Amino acid sequence: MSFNSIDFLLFFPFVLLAYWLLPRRGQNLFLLAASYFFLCYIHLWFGALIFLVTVVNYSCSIAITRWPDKKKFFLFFALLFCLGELAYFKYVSFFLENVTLLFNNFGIPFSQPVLSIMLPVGISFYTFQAIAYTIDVYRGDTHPCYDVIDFALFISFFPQLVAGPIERSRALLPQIRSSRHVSPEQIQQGLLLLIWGLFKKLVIADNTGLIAFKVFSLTDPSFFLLWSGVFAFGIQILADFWSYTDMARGSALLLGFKLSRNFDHPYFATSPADFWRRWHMTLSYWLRDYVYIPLGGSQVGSSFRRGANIIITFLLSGLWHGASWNFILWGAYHGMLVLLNRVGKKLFSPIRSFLPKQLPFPLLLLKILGTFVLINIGWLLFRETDIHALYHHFQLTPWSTTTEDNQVARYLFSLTFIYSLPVFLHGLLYFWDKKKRGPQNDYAKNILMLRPILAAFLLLGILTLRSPESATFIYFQF
Amino acid sequence: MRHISTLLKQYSSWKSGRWYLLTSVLLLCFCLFSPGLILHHIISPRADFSRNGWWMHFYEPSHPVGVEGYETFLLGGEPLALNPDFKQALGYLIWDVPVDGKYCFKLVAKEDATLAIDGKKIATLTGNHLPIKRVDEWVTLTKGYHLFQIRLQNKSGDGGFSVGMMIPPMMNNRLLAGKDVAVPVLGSLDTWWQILEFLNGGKIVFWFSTFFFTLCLLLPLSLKNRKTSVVISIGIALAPALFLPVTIRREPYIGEMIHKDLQEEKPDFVFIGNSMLWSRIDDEYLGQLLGGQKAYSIVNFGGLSAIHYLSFKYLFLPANIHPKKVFIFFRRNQFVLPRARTTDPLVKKTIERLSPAPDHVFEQIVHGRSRSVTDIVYDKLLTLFPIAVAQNEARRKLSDLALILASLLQQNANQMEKERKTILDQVNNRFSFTSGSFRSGIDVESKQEETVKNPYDFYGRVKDSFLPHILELAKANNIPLVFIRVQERPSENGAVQDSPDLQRYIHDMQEYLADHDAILYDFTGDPELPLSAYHDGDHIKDQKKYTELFYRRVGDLLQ
Repeated sequence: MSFNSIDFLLFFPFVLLAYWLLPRRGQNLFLLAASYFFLCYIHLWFGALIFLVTVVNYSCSIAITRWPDKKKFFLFFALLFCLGELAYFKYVSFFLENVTLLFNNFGIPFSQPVLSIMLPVGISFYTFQAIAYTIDVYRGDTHPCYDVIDFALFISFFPQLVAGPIERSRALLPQIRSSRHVSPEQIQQGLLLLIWGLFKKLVIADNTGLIAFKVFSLTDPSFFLLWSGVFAFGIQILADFWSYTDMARGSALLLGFKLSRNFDHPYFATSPADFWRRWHMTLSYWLRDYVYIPLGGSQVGSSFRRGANIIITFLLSGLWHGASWNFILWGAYHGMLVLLNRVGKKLFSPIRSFLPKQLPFPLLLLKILGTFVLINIGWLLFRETDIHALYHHFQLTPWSTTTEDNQVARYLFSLTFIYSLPVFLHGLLYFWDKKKRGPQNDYAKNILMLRPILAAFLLLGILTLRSPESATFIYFQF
Repeated sequence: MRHISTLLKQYSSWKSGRWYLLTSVLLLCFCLFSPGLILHHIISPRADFSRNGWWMHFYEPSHPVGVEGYETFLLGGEPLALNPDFKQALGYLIWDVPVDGKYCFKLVAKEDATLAIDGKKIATLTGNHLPIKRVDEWVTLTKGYHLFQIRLQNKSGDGGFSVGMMIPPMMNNRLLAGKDVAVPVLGSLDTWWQILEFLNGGKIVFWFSTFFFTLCLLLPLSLKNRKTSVVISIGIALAPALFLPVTIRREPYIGEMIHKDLQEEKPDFVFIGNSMLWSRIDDEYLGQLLGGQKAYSIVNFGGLSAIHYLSFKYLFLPANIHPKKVFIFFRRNQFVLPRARTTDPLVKKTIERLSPAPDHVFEQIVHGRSRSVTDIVYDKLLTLFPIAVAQNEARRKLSDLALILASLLQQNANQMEKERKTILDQVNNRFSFTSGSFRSGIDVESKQEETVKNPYDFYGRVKDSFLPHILELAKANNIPLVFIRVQERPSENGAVQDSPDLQRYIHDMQEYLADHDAILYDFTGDPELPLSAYHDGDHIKDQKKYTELFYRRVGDLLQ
């Protein structure tokens, strides 16, 4: 069930009403049932899989506490199970495809077995959430959850089930355990998040997505035309994913839960590293805490190891997104960017000392634009799954673009820019407000009185500008 | 329950409650005036604020004006584009008569037209297409506002009309221009009716805004007396309903007009189709080629097999004429995709106009199978709030804005204008679009193909389509039918789109039609239809040239 479907429009008000009419204990059980319904509505077997993940991690986390001398074994078992099911459902076809290719290249006859594996929706998100929990219990950072209902709800909480944010146990479990209240302000904030999310999805993501789809469907896009499509995709993926998070946070707020922020205006990032602090923040923090730091992070002695740690982390990030070489390339590309960024910072540190702490606006703008261009190059790697086509795309030169294609590209750039304006304006408003009132200021509170008006405008926008065809959320496939 | 009562308590004692109330009132103002002010400024292409907030609007019922690419109507020298599909233009304007006096109004039109002032018919013109007719009528008007209604029934081909006046004491005969007419009172019920009728899609905006306003007002429950608060909230929420016209009504049936026309024309050949037919056959020219025999086209833009069926059954057959042949133009495998283009709100209006009452075969085929509750609810919502009207305009505005941005490099306005047109053409060419739209007709059909199983299995699917019903009706009325498959736009390398699946499909269809005494002629692969013959999408550039080609190729059937 998708947030932008009529099914959800019928499902959610019913859940909301029934949920608030129930006593606390009943609330969790009801939410669990609603979450399983939410997932099983897509496919019955998806429920079975998440149930298994829940049972394994629940049992192992309790076993880790009860038999501390064997905790390594239980952690290993839980990780093996989680990563195993992830590998089977997500990566086995990719692996076999490449093994077949390798064998055949060496002249060894090998035919790829035909597997019809359906990728369970949200598998990467809830598996990572479960892994983080078990590792936290193993490390002693969190206490195991003995209540099976609460734990099952932690794994399957429907607003964030399909595309995150990836919640940590210490943030979500206490909310599940305690009784919940919702304030009028929370309700309004939740509704606004839902409407803003819906606007980003239906107006921005779906409209720019159509442009990207058309460009990437061309067999021979020229340089500028291709990059107009990449630009459209860049806007689409941001609006698409961000909208899901907002709608997840909005619906959770209405249920009395506060979910983590997953985006912080990533296209205003001033460096690749800054981008990752703003884009899919919960995944970035997950990879930092459970991959990068355990690998030694930046504390290891040799520069090579430090660099390798970054590359490994980003390669895993790419692989997390999908079982395809283009995602691995995308991860490697971002790893390289972050690495080069660090090296550059060190090299230019003597010059930086001459610069004022607060960068002058033109320089800041230049940094933002530069980062935006680099991120967009990455989006080409992300969007184009065909490696041969990707190679062809990178061979294109600006001067090979015909006048006709140049005109079309200008139009597509302009159209995408117009559709993306609300996102950029929102960012500008956010940063302006933050600067004016200080970093501790709650931006959301400042627009408290404006919310109904803002919501009315957003509704107006959704109704008049929404794309007639709404695509599935991109991150559903991960 | 405890949670809800706690929540209500929180609201009633909430400090910000009064601010919410204030915001809610502001929002109410927004709700009341946004459709008129915002949408008219942003969306309505006819709004003219050139004279101190005076403005006019002109529209065809339930459909936006400003369709690109069609012959334009002129009102006071201003172009008024009208989609010929919808046959009828209806205009409202309010004129602030400067002094008491006798005024002469002239009405010039190609087709049936009426001018009414304050609900009283002043001038009427009747007749077909050309020649252009004119009527002058004198009427006494008092100083102040008067409501003008102008109606035009377009019968075939392009159409146009103008309204002129002679103002005493100058007595200079001139056309009514946008700046001469006005709707000065935003609060009047009549104005609201017009605005909402015009916008149509605005209604849903209106309701949603009202809904949100109510929500904001209800949530804080800031008044001490909660009951009063709730009653006031509901009252305010429902108040806008007073301004809304009754929207659940069928569109008027246009059949009688066509029957009358067909009976007067008594054509030898009747053509039924959509824009594929419209861009290909010139009735008058074909008549000349046929040595005085008459051809008559019934064109429904955007219509596919469902609309062809309704046109044949309700527009053609009741006229009770017996042409030598009836030609039905089609594309691809549309005859086995009966639901294609039947759910679009704009096409729904057309469908309603084609039959006096819901057609049981249509209902059975289109709505009878596998429709979920959500489909039904969604359809009902779309009927109530045809938002697509506003959406089309909004999308067009954004596209225009993008064109302006894309042409900014040009040095002067003329060059910019030229550049915009070139860019639009290039976009159309590059993506095979119609009018720069990212959703061409082909896309919609392809999408439909994707959603059905075995879209090219003719025999497997034909029983659930409109084709057997068309053939049955033709047989019962002794009407010889010819189906014309048009060639789709070739790709840029000149290759004609004709997959083996489609070829097999057409072969089966030909066989099936032959068994039912009908003929299929396929233009696919015709050497005289290269890419250069196409305008946008599958539309043909030169109607006359194609008519000649049609005459040469299908000459035997035109005897």
